[in-house]
Amino acid sequence: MDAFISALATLTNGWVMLAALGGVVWGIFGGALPGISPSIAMALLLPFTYGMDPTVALVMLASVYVGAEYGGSIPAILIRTPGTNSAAATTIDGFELARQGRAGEALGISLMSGLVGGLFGLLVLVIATEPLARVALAFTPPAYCALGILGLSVIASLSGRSLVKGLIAGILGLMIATVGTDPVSGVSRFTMGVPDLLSGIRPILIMVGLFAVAEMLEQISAPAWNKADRRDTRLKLPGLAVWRRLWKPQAIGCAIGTFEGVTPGAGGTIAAFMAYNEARRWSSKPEEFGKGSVEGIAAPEAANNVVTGTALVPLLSLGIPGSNSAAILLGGFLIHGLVPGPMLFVKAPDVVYGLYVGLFAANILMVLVGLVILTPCIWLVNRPKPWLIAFILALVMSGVYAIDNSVFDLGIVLTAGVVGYVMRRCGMPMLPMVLGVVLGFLVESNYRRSLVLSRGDHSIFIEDPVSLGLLLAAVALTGYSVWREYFKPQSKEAIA
Amino acid sequence: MTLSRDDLLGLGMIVLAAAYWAAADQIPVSLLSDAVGADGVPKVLAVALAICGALLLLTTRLKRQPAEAPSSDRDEKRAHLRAAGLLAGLVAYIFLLPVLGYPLAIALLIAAVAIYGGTRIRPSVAAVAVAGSALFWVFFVKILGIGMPTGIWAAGF
Amino acid sequence: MFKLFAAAVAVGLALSPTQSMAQAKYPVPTVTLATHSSPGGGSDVFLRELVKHVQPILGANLAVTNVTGGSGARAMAELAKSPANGSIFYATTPTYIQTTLLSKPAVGFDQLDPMVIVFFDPTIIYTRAESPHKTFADVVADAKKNVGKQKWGAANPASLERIAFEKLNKITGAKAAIVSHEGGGDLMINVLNGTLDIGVGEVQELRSQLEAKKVRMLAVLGDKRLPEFPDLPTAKEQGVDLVVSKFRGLAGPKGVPDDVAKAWEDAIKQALASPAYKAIYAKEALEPVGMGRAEARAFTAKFAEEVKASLTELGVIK
Repeated sequence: MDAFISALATLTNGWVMLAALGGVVWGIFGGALPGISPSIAMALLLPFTYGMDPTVALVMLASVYVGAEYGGSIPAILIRTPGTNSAAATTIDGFELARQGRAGEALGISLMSGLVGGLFGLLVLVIATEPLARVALAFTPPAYCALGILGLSVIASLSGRSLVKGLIAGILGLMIATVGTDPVSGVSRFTMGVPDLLSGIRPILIMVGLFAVAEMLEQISAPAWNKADRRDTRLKLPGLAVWRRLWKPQAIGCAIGTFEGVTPGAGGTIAAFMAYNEARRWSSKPEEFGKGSVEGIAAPEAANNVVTGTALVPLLSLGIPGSNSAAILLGGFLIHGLVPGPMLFVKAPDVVYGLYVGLFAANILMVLVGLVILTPCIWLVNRPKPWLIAFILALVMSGVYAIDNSVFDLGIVLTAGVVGYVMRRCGMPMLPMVLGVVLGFLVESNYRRSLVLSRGDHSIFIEDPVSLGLLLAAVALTGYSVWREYFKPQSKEAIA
Repeated sequence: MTLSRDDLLGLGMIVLAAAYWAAADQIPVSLLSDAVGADGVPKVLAVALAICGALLLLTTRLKRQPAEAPSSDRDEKRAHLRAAGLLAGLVAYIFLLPVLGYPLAIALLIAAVAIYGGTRIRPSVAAVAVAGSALFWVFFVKILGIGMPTGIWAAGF
Repeated sequence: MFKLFAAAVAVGLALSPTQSMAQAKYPVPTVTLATHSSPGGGSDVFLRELVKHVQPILGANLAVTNVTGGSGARAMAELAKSPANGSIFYATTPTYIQTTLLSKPAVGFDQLDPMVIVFFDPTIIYTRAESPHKTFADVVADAKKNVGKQKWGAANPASLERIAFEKLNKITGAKAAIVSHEGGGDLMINVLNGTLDIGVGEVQELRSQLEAKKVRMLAVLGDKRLPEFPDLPTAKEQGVDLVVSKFRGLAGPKGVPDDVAKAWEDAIKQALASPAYKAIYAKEALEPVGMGRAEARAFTAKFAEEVKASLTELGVIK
């Protein structure tokens, strides 16, 4: 309790509040810049935090995470270019709404859903760390493999009109994920002797290419953007009637986000896609999805912001980082001589509670910052198109270089851009490819680890209860999607 | 008969699958490896891709639906050329970046793309490009401390 | 908005202790220390701590830079083409030798010149607290009795620890399943939840679980016991000749002048002797060695030969 009272005092600590504000502002910007993912935004800031007080430093880093997970949705909605991996699902309905001239409304929904998700994730982190840590420990290699397969099963329903094309995109994504060092034997695969490929291709590079670069290649010859855009040039927060539609997708997002955040290795991207998928399944207006549904923004945006809280569960309670972003935060702890893990709550409770309070402040500040910057953002994308394309490409080429100081990465992004352009022309959906790239390594490495453990016996996937449950869920989801797509007569038009 | 776009895509995927299989076959076998092997999953993916490619060929044959009315071949071609031109500009940026250094290269990129996109050539274009470059440089190099290439003016920055 | 951000950064800088740049004996004002690990990773943390203690002694400004990618291949390539005037060094670990041997990049460890070796990192075999195995000897006895039943985990594929376990399999004939992971955290989960019988890692990776008494150390893979854990026997004492030696040092481009090498040797030795640094590295159970260039060269060459020999013996490389 003493620690809790001292934590409340943190609220009045100017440095902590300033750190939360600075972190959130940079997070939103970094997240919105194509190429700078949450973990990279945090890594870029990490060196600045070395000299700070530990609580101030950790609050700042965690605030970046909160801001960046939200910030990724801004370009996803405005220019169909997700700033982060986990905002990819938001492009579907977000950009559709923007095209209908409802960009301000879409941004308001994603901001509010981010707030709901972020606060829910924090609540879970504060009250349920102990039991949830046990969930994280229950995940053995077969369970992780099954979790990845469950994520991939969403491909079936993301494919829209052509299941085969969706599958092709997914397989191509999985193939991209096989480049690099083999997870079991350590030999290099498909690297063609290029050292830059040894540690694989970062999914964010593929994302930026598929969405941002391909979109610009397409826009350069398209007519000027629809004038309808201009109708709605101000941010519009959801009214009561809209909130009534939002609570269900947000609840779905919160539930899925909690689960995915707690299991190390999964993270916000699967959470966002699965939340989108489930929100559509349980919606009373599933036919609106893909055509500008407000629910289609609320679910993924709530889900990926829940993860900013729950991803800290395995880090704080076990000392095990569950995602790249958590790994950077772990670095932040270590640099200050703090070791996250079971003893952290005993040894440095003030830091832990200070972090909770800082996260709370960060979520509130995120909304305030959003209210200030979103209207100017809408103004920005309504600038003359040639300039917009020029600045987006300049941002992409700068942001991607910033990840690893690598010119080679720029080449990968352009290549992915060409692939994305061709895919658009062939009517191939891009989201399955994103899923493949993000999940490929998780599925393959854990599949093979499981078989090493069982000495080649596949029954390990059925004997492990967690794995069995997840696999059954994957089969059910796929079966339902295929049935709805091909056999359920009346909704044929609705979901196309 | 003429091949539709889906036919080409299906064929392309089968060729890609074959090439990927061949590359997977080249992966050296390590004694540290498992029963599945470093090439196991890739080979499964190659087969799956080939099957999907074949399915695509098959379904377009079966459906025989009127091909999506091509908007206009000439418009299409023009769009591809425009995209290729933009791509060439971006590739040029990659090669010029280490030579010219970041501030100059990014200013040229901004100006070139804006003009290519249809902005009229006026002095203000150069002004906006320089201002943009300065803003980017302050943000990435000064604030974030990214070691952007300095090019041949190494001493200056 | 940028102003706010800059203000926050400025606050951070203001809070940091100002480091003095003392006597200017060192030939260049600023030295870049490159690492292949990302911010917050093992070598990164090592360098940032080292900087704090060596900077005042050396009398030059030390800056850490992360050249990630390619498990060190990119950093090695970068170093080899840098000026050899003492203005840039690379934080070495066995990784750069492993990468050279396994992935054969254009620029390998032999194109760099070892400058100093600072620490040896002890490697430890551990298990979860509830495990029936109380000692490493128990594990080996059980493995010999139940051939093909045990499961062992190492942090990375083709790491030194992984190779050590392959050797252990050979020595004991246990035919245990050896599972490689994506880092120490991943491995720890599978040791804690009982999927694996034993894991292998560094003290730093174990510390939080050790403090919480969730894991038990079984053996140190070294020639002698660790001063921090005098009750923990070596593997050798328990009847298995298994040694993993890992090091942390610095290497530069070839042709660094002798006075620079001497300056570093002296600075490192002096820093290692300082009580402030000692308190930090003793907690991690790091063994201070402080080898100068001549020793470091000989050590690195011998080390690489040994790794090459065991990789060849296991059939991983030809």
